[in-house]
Amino acid sequence: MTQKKRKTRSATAPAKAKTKSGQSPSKAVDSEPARTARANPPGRKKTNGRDLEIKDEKTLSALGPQLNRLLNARPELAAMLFINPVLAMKEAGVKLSRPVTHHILSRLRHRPAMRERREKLEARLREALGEVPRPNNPAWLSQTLFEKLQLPPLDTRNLTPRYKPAHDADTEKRLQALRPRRTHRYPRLSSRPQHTGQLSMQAVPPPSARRLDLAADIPRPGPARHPPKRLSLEALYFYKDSNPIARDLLELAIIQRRGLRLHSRYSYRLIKEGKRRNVFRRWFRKVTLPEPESKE
Amino acid sequence: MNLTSNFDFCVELGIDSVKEIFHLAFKSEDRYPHNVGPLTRTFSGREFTINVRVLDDEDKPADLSFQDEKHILFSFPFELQAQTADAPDPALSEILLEAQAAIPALLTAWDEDGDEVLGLSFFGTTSADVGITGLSGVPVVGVEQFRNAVHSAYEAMPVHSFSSGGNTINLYDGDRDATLEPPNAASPYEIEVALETHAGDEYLKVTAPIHVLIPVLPVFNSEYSSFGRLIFYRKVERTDSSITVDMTAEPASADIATTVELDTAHPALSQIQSQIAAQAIGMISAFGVITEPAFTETAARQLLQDEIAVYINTRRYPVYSPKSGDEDEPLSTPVGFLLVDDGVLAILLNRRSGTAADDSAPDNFLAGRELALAVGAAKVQEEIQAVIAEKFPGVGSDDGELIETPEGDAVLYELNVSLADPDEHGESEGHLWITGKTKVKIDCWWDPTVEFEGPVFMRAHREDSDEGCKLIIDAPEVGDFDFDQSCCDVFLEIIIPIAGWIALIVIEITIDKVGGEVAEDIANEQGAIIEPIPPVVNGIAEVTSCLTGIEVFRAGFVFPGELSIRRLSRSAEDLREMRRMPRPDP
Repeated sequence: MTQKKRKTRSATAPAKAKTKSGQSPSKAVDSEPARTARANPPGRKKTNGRDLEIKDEKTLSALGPQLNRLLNARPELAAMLFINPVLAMKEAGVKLSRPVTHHILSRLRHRPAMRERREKLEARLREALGEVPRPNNPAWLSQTLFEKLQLPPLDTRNLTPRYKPAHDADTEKRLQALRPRRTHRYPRLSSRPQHTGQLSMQAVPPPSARRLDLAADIPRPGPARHPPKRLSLEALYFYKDSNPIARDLLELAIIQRRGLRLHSRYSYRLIKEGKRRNVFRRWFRKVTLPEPESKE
Repeated sequence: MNLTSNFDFCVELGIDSVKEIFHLAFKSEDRYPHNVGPLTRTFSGREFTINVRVLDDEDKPADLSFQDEKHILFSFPFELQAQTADAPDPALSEILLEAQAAIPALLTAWDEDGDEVLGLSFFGTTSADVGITGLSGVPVVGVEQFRNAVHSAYEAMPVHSFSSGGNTINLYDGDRDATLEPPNAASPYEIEVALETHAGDEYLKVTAPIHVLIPVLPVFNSEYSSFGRLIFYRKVERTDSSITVDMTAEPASADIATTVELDTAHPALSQIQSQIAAQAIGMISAFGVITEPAFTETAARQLLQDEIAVYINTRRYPVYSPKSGDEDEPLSTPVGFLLVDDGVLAILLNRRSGTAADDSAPDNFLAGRELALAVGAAKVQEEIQAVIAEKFPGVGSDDGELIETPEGDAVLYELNVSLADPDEHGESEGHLWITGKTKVKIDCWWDPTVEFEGPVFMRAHREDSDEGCKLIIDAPEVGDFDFDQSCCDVFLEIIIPIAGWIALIVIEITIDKVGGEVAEDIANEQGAIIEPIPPVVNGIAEVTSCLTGIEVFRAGFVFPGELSIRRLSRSAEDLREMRRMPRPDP
C-alpha cells in the first residue's frame, strides 16, 4: 500500500482500529476466541438469540467486525448496503439507536471535508435567505433568484456549462497516444467535398452536476424577457458570477448531489424486490466486509 | 459469428456495390477498350477482317454474379463482325455474330503503383474458360445462299456463250447478260438451284437456262437450234467455317451426270442432248470453285471464345485499393472472399494467425446494408487492455489502482472487459461485459470489497451536415444507471470513460488499418476527420462512405455504414449525356 493510501485511510477511518498485532483490519484474521470475546461487549444489548442492538458510536465501533460477519453471511444484502446501510443492517438483524443511525447516515452521505463545506454553505445561505436552502428544487430556485433576490433573468437557452474533464491531463495524453497517427493518404479531388466523414466522441462520461466547473470563466449571457418558473442547475450555473448567493446555491446543490443517495424504506424495498432498477443492485455481485479481530 | 476469420479486420460490401464499381471500371476505355480491331484472320484459306465490340448499355448490359469464393462470373455482350471481301454470296460477305460471353475473373490482389490492391483479374483466361450463350448471327447456308452464290459466279464469268466444234451454247441467268443472242427465252428463266442428297452426299443441283445452236447437224445436214436446260450436280463440301462447291468436278455417278434438255423436237434429239451435255461440262467449269464463308455454330462459338479470350486475358481492375500513407508501415495485402449465397464481398486485412492456407471466409455481417467494417475480438481485446493500462495502470497489481474523488476513494484491483453477443447475460443486445473488483474506502467503516459485473452498451449515431456525415460515439449506457445521481457516477466513471475510449480507438485503428483515412483531429472535440474506407478505387471510382453505428458481438465490433460510388473522371460519353461536349470555336 502506498504512503498516500495509508494517509487517506488513517484520516478517514477512525473506527478502523488496528489489531493488537498491528495488522490493518482488512488483513486481520478473525479467530474463534476473538469472536467469543466480542459476543458480549459493554454497551451492547442482546435482544434475542440473533439480533444485535447498538445504542452508541462506541459500541458500533467495537462491534464492527461482528456486524461485518453478520452482513457477509447475508450476501443478498451486500449491495443493499449501498442503497441504505441502516435498512440493510436492520434486515441483517442489527438494531440501531436513532443517534447511531444519524451518525452512520451523515458519515456516509459525505466525506468530512465536503460535509464541513456543506454545513458552512447551508448556514450562510440560511442566514442570507431566512430559510433552509433547497437548491436542487428548480421551482424554489426560481422563486429565490428572481423574487427574493430580484436577479435579472438571463437567457441561458442553448448554453452549455463548463465541466471539469473526466481525466487528468496526463491520463488524457496517454490515451491520446493510443490513437493511430494522422495521415493524408488520398489526393483531395475537386469533385469531392474536402472530407466525407467525421468521427467524434461525445463527452464521456456525460456531463453531470458533479463535474460542473465553478472556477471557469464564462461570458455573461444576455438578458431574458421573463424569468423561468423552474431553474435547473445547469441554468443556475450561468448566474454563478452575478451574485454570491447564487454561487453558494450552485455549490451547495452540487455538494448535495455528490452525496451518497440513501433510499427511503419504500424505495429500498422496491429495489430489493427487483421492482425498481438500481445500478448497485444490478452491478454489485458480491460485497465482502473485512472481519478483523478487535481488541480483547 | 465469425467476423474476421484469422484476420484482425474485415470490410464487407454488397454485390450491388461491386457491380457499380465494375460498370465504372468498364467505362474506362484504357482498361476496357470497347472496340478491338480490325484483326486479320484466315479461315479455310479465306482472309477475314475481324472487329470485336464489347457492350454495356441499357439494351445490352454487362453483368456479374458471384461464382464461388474466389471467382466472379462476368457476362459481357460481345459482337464479332467477320468480313471477307470476295464472298460469292454478297449477303455472306459480312457476318455479325452476337453473343453473351460468361467469363470468370479471379478475386486476387496485386501491386498497383506500389500499393497492394484487391481486384478482379482475367489474366490467364483461355478460350475454354469463356462460356458463350445467346449466340446469334450464325449464317445458315441453304438453297437461297447457293442461288445467290451461283448468280454471283455467273456474273463473274467473262463470257456466257461457249463455242466448240462450231456449236454454240448460250448460258443464261435471267437477263443478267443482255448481250446474248438470241435473248433468253428458256425455261427456267433464271438459274435454279436445289440441294439434294445422293448416296449420302450433299449435292447442289443446278438447272441453268441455255440456248443451243448447231449450224450443221451431221447426217441431217441441217441447222438445229433450241432453248433448253442444263442440269448438273456438284458435290457440296462443308467445313466449320465455309461451304465449297467445286463446279469443275463432274460427279462419277451416272445417276447424277450432267444432262441437257432441249425444247425443240428432232429425230436425233437424244444424240444432240448427249453431245451438248458433254460439251457443257467444260462450260460449267467456268463457274470455278464457289466457297461461301459459313461458320457452323460450333465454329462460331469457338471463334468468339478465341477472340474474347485474346481480348480479356490482359484485363483486370481494382475493387479495393487502400493506401498506407506511411511508407514505413505498409498495409497488409487485402484478401478477398465472396459469400456467394449472400451476395457479399468480404475483404480481410491483417492476418492475425496462420498462413494464406489457413485463410477462410468470414460470415455475412453486412446484413443487407451497403457497407460494414468489422474488427475481431482479439484485436479489440488488445485495445481494451491498452486503454485499461493507460487509464488504470495499477489494475492487476497487488496494490491496485487508487481512484481518488472528492466523494470517496477506491482501490481498483481488477477490471476486465469482454465482448458478449446478444442474448448473453440476459441482454437482448450485444454488449461489453465488465467485471471487476474494488475496495471502496468508507470513512466510518471498514472498507468493503466489491466484486461487480454488468453490461455496457455501446452507442453511436450518424448526423449529417453540409460538411458531410459524422459518426458520433454516444456515451456508453449501463442500463440501470441514472447518470446524474450522486455517487453513482463516481462508480461509473471507472467504466464509462474507458468504454468510450475503447470505441474511439478501435474505430480509428480499424479505419487506419483497412486503408481508410484518419486525416486530422477536429478542433475542440475528441474526434477526427475520417474516410472510413479508401475514398478512391484506383483510376476508377470515388467512394463516399459514412459509418452509422456500432454493434457488439462476442467475435468483435461491427461498424455498419453507407456508401455511394461515382466515376472518378468523366468520359466523352458522360459529357454527351450531360450535354457538355466541347464545342468548336465559333
